[in-house]
Amino acid sequence: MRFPKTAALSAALMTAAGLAHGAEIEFWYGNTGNVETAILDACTAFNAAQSEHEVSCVGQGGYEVGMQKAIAAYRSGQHPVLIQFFDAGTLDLMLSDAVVPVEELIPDVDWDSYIAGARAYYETSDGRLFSQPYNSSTLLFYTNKTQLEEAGITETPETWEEVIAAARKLEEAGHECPFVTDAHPWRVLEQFAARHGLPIASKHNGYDGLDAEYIFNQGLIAEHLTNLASWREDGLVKLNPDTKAGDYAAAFNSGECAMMEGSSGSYAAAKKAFGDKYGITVTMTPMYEGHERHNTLVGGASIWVMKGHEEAEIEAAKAFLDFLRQPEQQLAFTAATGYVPVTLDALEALKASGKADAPEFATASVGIDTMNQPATEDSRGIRLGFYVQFRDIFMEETQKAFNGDQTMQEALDRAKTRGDELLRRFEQTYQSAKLN
Amino acid sequence: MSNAFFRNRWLPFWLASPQLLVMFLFFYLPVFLAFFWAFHLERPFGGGSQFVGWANFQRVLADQEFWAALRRTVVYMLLASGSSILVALILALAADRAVRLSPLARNLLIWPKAVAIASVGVIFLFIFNPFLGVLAPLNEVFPGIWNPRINPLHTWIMIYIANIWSAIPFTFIILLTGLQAIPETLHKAAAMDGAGPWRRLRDIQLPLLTPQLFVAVVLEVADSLSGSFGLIDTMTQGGPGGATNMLVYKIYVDGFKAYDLSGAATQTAMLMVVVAGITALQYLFLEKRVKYER
Amino acid sequence: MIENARSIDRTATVLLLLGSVFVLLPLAFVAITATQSYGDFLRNNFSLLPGTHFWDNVAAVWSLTDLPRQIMNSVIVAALVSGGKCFLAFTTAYAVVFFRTRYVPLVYAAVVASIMLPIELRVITVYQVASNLALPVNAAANTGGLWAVLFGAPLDLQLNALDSYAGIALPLMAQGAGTLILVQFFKTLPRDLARAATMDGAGPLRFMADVLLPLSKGPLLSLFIYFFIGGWVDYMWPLVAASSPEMQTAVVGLARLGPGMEEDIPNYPLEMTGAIMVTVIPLVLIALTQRRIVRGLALSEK
Repeated sequence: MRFPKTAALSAALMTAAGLAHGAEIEFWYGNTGNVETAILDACTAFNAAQSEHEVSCVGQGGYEVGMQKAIAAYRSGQHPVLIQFFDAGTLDLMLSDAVVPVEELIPDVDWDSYIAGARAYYETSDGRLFSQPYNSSTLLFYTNKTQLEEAGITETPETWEEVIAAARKLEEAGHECPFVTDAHPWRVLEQFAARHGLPIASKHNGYDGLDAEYIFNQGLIAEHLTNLASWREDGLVKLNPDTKAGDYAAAFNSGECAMMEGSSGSYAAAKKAFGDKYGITVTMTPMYEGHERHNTLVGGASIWVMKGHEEAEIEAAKAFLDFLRQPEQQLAFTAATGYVPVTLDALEALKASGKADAPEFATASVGIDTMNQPATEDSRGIRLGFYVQFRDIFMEETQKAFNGDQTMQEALDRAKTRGDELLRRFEQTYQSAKLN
Repeated sequence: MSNAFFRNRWLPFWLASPQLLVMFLFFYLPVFLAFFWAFHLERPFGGGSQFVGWANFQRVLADQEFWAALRRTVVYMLLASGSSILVALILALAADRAVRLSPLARNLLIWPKAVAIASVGVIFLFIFNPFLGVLAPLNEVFPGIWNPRINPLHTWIMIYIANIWSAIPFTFIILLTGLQAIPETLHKAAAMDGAGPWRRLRDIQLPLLTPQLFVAVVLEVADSLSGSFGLIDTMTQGGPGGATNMLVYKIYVDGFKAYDLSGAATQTAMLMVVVAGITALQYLFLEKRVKYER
Repeated sequence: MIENARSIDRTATVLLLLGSVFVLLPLAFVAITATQSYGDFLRNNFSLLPGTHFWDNVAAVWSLTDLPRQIMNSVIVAALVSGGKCFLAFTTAYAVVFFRTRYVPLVYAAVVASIMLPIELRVITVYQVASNLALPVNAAANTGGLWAVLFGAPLDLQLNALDSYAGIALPLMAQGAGTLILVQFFKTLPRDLARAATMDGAGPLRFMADVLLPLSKGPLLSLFIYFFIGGWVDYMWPLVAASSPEMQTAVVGLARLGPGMEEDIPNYPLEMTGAIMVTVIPLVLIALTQRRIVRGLALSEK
């Protein structure tokens, strides 16, 4: 047995030691591939680092199936203590009465160490953290440095105006795909609105009540989406179906497209694909000129503690959460996966280690930077009902607009109307529930 | 008449009871539990479910998206099962001839059965990639003539072909075996009476194939419905612009990706009604024409 | 055969050739992709040029998944599902075709109606039932508080089938295709079979065991192989029903090769290699038993 490394862990061990014996608990997660390997490594490390508790990590093959199974399991009383859920399921869980807020469960932790962009997404409107952020990503701006320089662009664009100017230069230089996006609402709506400090729905994106209404079909957001459509007409912006690869990230990786807005998690694959052929830059996503920059939102998933378990099991869950929160654990996870560490002490540890510029940490500091910009009431996150369905509606209507079946304004208006219907039904479903 | 001969009152029930028990536990009871949600506003993790009567049904029936998805689903069931049976029938007629390729082809044509439907989707998505796939040369000459990512008609063609590919094995085998069971003497006798190959196909082979065709129709209609989920999920996610959003996929997304259990259950109930109707039609109109005697 | 047979045969050959190419093309594409490395794939996307990394991919799949264990699970689950389906279909079809009892068509309708609604749409409630098979017993016993009045407390039996071979296999058996096929087969049997058996002094059960079962050996074997392959490639339910990694089937285990993050580009070369490794067993099965499948499904006794 290895000796506990940090104060947090020894504290956890001491509370646990007071009990007759520890417990064996399950942690359900959804990731696959290299992320799954990293999660399993963390579990093994935890089990090796102490003998009080035993956590068994069970992969569910995907976030959505994991959530489905959790719902079924909870209804049958077979649910695990710890479970990982993805960002879009946050509201459903908060209202579910099936989980305990981590801040209530483990009050003596410095939860403020979590950076604003990561924290606000998972906290109640009165500021208590509901779940512990785990694998976190955010939106970044990627450019193919080599291709930009070939077209005579030496500075990475920082505003949309500069992006489009660069795109025109690339087009003149004969580049077929200057800027690529998939127009997914996570990119073109949620992250765009948050960093411009704009709400997509009233009541601060629903944080102040379930009676919110969508309001993205006006102002700068509507302008931006209309711009995207007309830039696409001009050949400056390409969407998934316009690319050979059929996927924006694949199109960027193969050198087909010169710029993209993509998740911080896309870095490893892009770097690998570029090899020595191209240089890559990763910066904060572009703003419109004359707007103050606010934080981008956290993506990925967080870990929730489910109700209905014995004291010993809860202790084991606390110990495991404490273990994962340690800076060295976060950094090991970042190095293995490309996710962004989200606590200030992890960031300090990274700086202290002198490895901040190493390729495996390339997105960590810019990722933290963009999530740590000044927050507003409207850049905390999204707290809207049936939001996954709304994302599909948004995609469907805007796709029709991009294909020329309706104007972008019509698409946004229709998406708002259909989205509001979902919000009203959600409100009715949770009539008696209280949104904290 | 029929083979029905024994008249025991309870024995058939006991014989069928294992099947009925499995059906009850894992089909009817779950469907019933889900129907409960159709009359409530149900929260995913339970608790606080409210009875709302027929309100969910009223809302779904007034929803244009639902009707559009239902229409696509029914058209797809008819066209997908029809096209796959036609292709399999042609191949079975060819494989029934004693040509040299026949034994090999009989083996090859069953292979797609071993490939999961989701993989079929991924594979055909690449094959019909407008820039890299088999039709890419066409796009080089006439830019934009083929793009299943934007043009819904092209998207549908792609889905139908993928469905035919995965549906060939079963229909092919069952029709081939039926053809092989037709006695050679019937062919010879008809040929001596001066009946040409087309005539023999129409008067001998197809009528004697009706039991197999009936099974193929019932199971293909069912398979096209359940298989549509895997294809849509991997190939189009209902796009472009919702043009290929079929009911099975829509129900799955609404209920299990977006946790709208009540909406999904209500649509499932509606789908069940349609499915029951189609099954009844098959038995009322098709099974009557099946000739069992030899 | 008879008249212009040669031109018909030539047409048949051309059609079979086209059909074979149509079937093989996607499979060839799988095989080619499996020979590429992830790096090749990221740079070139899908391409038709074979690479040299097939064995590296095989080794990677082998180390990332627990294939020996998972393939054993798949064999057990697929065998249980197909064996169960054949058994259930045989007794039910016998009841449906050979009995003149009035409720028999109802039984048949109830079974056939299950063909069209895939298990994907019932996952949550099937899970609820599988997590406690005694659910309906409890519900019946507790109707109107009856059990509580008689015994002091409501009946609360627990019988959890999840994470067991039975729990994975049983819900997959609840599908009536086998019954439909066997009913069609029985209907093509000579009409006086049962009468003749009775005259020889055999009762309904003797007739079923001594006459019908031997006659059905061919179709049952074909159905078994056919359902075995179907059970082998099932994904959704085995994934949900197996809570522990030790119970996962091979196709479910392959999901581990998928992209780690939603935003990642899938490692298709690895996934395709895994698909090949897992598909080998059903493919060999098809190749070896093809003649038997074709003969068995003739739906007629020659």
